[in-house]
This record gives sequence, structure tokens and C-alpha cells, in this order.
Amino acid sequence: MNPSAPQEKRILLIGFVTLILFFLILPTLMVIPMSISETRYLVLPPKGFTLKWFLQFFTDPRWLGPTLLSLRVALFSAVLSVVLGTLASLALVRGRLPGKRVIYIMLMSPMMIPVIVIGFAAYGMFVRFHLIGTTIGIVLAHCIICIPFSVVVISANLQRVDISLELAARNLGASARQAFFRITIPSIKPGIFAASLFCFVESLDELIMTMFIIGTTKMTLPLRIFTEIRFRISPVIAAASTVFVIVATLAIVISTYIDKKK
Amino acid sequence: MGKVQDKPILSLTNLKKIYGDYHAVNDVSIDIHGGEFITLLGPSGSGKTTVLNMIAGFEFPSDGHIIFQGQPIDLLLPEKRNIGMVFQNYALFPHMTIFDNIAFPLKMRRVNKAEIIRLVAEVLDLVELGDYADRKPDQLSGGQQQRVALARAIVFDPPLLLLDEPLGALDKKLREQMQIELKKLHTRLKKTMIFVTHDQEEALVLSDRIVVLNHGKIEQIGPPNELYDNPTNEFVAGFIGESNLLKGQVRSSESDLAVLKLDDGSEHKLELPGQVRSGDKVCCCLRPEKIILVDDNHTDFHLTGVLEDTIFVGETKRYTIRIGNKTLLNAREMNIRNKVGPKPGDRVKISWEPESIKLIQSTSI
Repeated sequence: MNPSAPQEKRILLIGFVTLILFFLILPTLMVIPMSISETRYLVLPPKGFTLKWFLQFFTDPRWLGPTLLSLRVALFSAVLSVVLGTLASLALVRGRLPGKRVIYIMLMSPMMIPVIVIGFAAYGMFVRFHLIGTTIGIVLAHCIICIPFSVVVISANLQRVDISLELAARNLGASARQAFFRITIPSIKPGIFAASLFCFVESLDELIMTMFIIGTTKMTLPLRIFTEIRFRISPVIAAASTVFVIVATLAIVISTYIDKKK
Repeated sequence: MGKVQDKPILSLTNLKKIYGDYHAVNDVSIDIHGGEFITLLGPSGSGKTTVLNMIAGFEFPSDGHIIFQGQPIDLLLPEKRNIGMVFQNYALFPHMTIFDNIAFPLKMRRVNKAEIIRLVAEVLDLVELGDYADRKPDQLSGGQQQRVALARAIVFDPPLLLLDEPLGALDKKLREQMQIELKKLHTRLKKTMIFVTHDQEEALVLSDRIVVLNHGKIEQIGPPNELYDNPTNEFVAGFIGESNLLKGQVRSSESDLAVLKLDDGSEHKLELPGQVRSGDKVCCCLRPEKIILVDDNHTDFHLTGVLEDTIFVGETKRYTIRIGNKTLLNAREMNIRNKVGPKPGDRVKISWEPESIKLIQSTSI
């Protein structure tokens, strides 16, 4: 802080920053009071206190099924995206291949192209391979969105790992494979962890791609919330959202904690 | 050459490394004998690290051969070579303890556990870090990390040790201390060591022989004193130690006196070594400490000049003397007698022992 800055200016700055933080976080926090209201519809401020909407969320197959599917999809998407992202990062950072820049941009493109376009395009492709309505189809669709994140995080991490560590391992008698698993992977563990978390959360709340690929028989959690809000304005939506917020917050807390420990 | 040394432990023959049309290493041939401490000395971009990387197997030569213990290893994978290496930044594995770092090459060689514990303890003792086995690398100082890197490179008893500017990251005092330790270690282990540095002083202190590299080519190979006293060319004369160069054309030469016309146009009568003929273009090298300032009444002197500047550095005095029109010579004198020296602007006479002046190849003639 500049000590010579006039007091009023500082107060103004603090006020402005506080306002932005509230703007970012307040709408999210609203779902918490809404989830404990005794009313059968969403109200704010809540009337009374109950946890029955949470109970319903965790027991009603209409909610439980999509939640489990979403978790399963998120897990597979995270694993697949991180494995592929790690391999791509290795090629981009360590490899001697021509047109690295072009490959990087192609890998990043899902981040820049509107998801609705990718979803529509993927639909056309997936129909041919009979992937519409399958879990694997949803996982693959989510990977399109997740892989760029995974590559960004892991390649940034890999760039900071001194290449001479791998050379040293080779010099000391490790094969290329041994050097990779014993030296490279442990060195980029923070990146792999962060990317896993990121991809997991990204897949968990993905909606647009899912809508194209999911077909008519399956339902993910975000899609359930979306349909519920259109037809029934039940507080279970708020309860589900609250669970979402808690899980996401926990994930952020854990990752910052691990980051700090490094 | 002695009988024991007849077969070199490592031979580089006509080694080349070409990237596109850039010759990083151009026709390098060296024979290195068992137990030798060889330094590859050169500025950055001279190809010294590329040579080392080819010996280690991190790069493959574009042409030429590397013969190690009688076997060609040009295309052998690095893990099959059994050559120790200390990296510039140590390259200790940050996620492993000191013990695990040093045990790594032994584990790769499937040495049994008891033997690993014994060997690691032995080598940790050697580098005086016995109490640090359970620490992580980032809990050690730079000098300690350096010693761990050394321990890891010798624990599997490789016949050849490569050192890539291992002292570069240390401060001056620690570096000098490590130089002494390295020298002791070399005498004790009797291992062949190839040391890479751009620091000529370090090279002079440590080496049995120095290979001076420039633009991927060998400029000169020889023991430190030979390179210092008898540089064959301008690059070596300038890179190792300080030197004064007198460049010009021989005007006339009779008996042992020649008239040399310097590039600045002035003419001087002086003794030149070797056979020079009228019309020859020559480059003479004269080390600053070999120049003697003689008293004015002396008649036995080689050149006269004007003192431009004196710098007092404690144990020595440094003089800048202008001879001719604009040729400057640096001279150094030990500060032994507390005599009042000449002042700037004074005319001075300078002299040197006849064998101190050398004719060398010039790059610009």
C-alpha cells in the first residue's frame, strides 16, 4: 500500500473491492438460506427451518440417480483428461516436434470456441458413432472441454521442472520410462492434482455439451436442476445447489492448502 | 608417453555436432588417459557443454566417434554408459531425501539393500554430510547440495566423472574452497575427470591438461603452465590470463634485432624470438607481469613509453604505458619495495627477459 495515498482514496478503493467481491459471491450464497425454508417453493428470506429438502436430495432417485451419474462422469472425465493432458504437455514442453505452436492452439481451441458450437458439432459426430445417450459419450464430450484446462495447468508445471532432473536420472542408470515415472511424474504432482480437481468440477457442472449428447434416457445433476427450475420451483434445487457449493468450496480449500504446502 | 597410459580411457575422434548449418562442435579430437583431470575451457557457445553432453549420451554426434574403454559408445543410451555426472545446477531430485538421491543409481543397478545403505553411508562420510541423509535437497545450502551431487555421481564407482560448471553457482569464497576439495577428491579417488568451465582461473588451478575451445574448435591443448607461458594463438593468449599484444610488420631484421612497425604506425627496434624476416606480419604476446620498469639511467631496455595511469591494487601496482602513438601496454609489479614509482606523464623505460616475449598466431593478420 502506498502510505502517501490520501485516506479518502483508500477508503474508496476498499469499498469498491468489497462491492465486487460481494457481487461475485453473494448470488451463490443466496442458495443456502433458500435451501432451509419450510415452504414448498423457493423464497427469500426463508420461512422456518428444515433439512427435509436435503434429505429428499439424498434419497429421491430423481435426484440421487443424476447425482451419481454426474459423479461417475466427472471422475472418468477427470482421469481421462489428466492422462491425455499430461501426455500432450510432455510432447509440447519436452518434445522436439515441428508446429508446436499450432498444436497448442488446436488443443486450446475448445476454450475459445463457444461451447454451444462445440456441442452442436460433437452431436453430429457422436450420432455417427452411436455415442448419444451413453455414459462414455458424455465423458468424451466433457473431455473436449476439460483437456485444455488440463494442458494449461500441467504444461505450466512441467515448464518449471528442470530438464536436467530427467537427464540426471538417465545418467544415473534409469531408462526413459523409469525416469518418467520416478522423476517427472512426482515433480509435476501438484499440477496433476490441480488439473484433476479442475476437470472434476468442470465436468460436474457441465450443462450445454451434456444437453446435446445425453439423449432422452439419462439425466445429470446440472440437467436435473435446470429442468426442475423450469417445471417445479422446489427448494430441493436450492439444497442440491448448496451441496454443490460446499463440494466446490472444499475442493478449492484443499487445493490451496496443498499448494501452500509445496 | 608411459606404458600404463598407452591406451586412453576415452577418445574423441573428429567429433562433430551440427544443428542445421551451425557447427556447435567442429572436428574435436582428444585422447584422455586414466586418472587425468581434463578441463574443457571456453566462452559460452564454444561447444564445451555439447562435447560433454555427447560423452554423457544426451546428444548424439553428427559425425566422429567416442571410444570409451575401448568400445565405441556414439549411439549408446545414457543409462548404459556408466559415466558419472555432476550438473551445473546439481539436478538433485527435490522430492527425495539426500539418502534416496544418492541411493538412486544403486537402486537402478539393483544393488541389494544392505549394500546400498553401506555405500551411501560411505560416500556421505567422504563428502562430510553424514548427518544429512534424511534431509530434502532444499534444506541444504548451495555448497552442501554441490557435495551431495558429487556423492551421487561417484557412489556407483564410475570410471569417468563429468563435471558441468559445478562451481558456477557458488560464491567466490566457497568456490575456491570447493576447488581445493575437488582437487583432493581427485587425488584420492584417482578417477578420470572431465571438467567444463568458462573460468580460466579455475581451469588453471584444477587441471592436469586444459582443452581450450572456441567456436566448436580446439584452439590448444596442454598443461596449465604451457598454455599460460606458450599460448599458440591470440585467442588462447587473451582467454587465459591477461596479455599484451604487439601487432605489426617487420621492417628489417639483422642479427637478433628487428625493426617492428606497429599497426599504429610507430617503429620500434627490439629483439624478437624465432626467425623473422623483413616483411613478415607478426603478433607478439607479452604477459603484464613479465614487463619490468627499469630506472632511467639504465641502458639495457627494450622499449620506451609514457606512463598513462597507475592503479594501486594492494599487493600489485598496475601500470598502463603508451608506446608509439596509441599502443597501450599493461604492466604489473609486485608491491615489494615501498619506492615512489613513476607518475603519470613520465617517460618510462621497460624491459623483459628475452624468453618472455612470444610470437603467436593472430586472428586478424
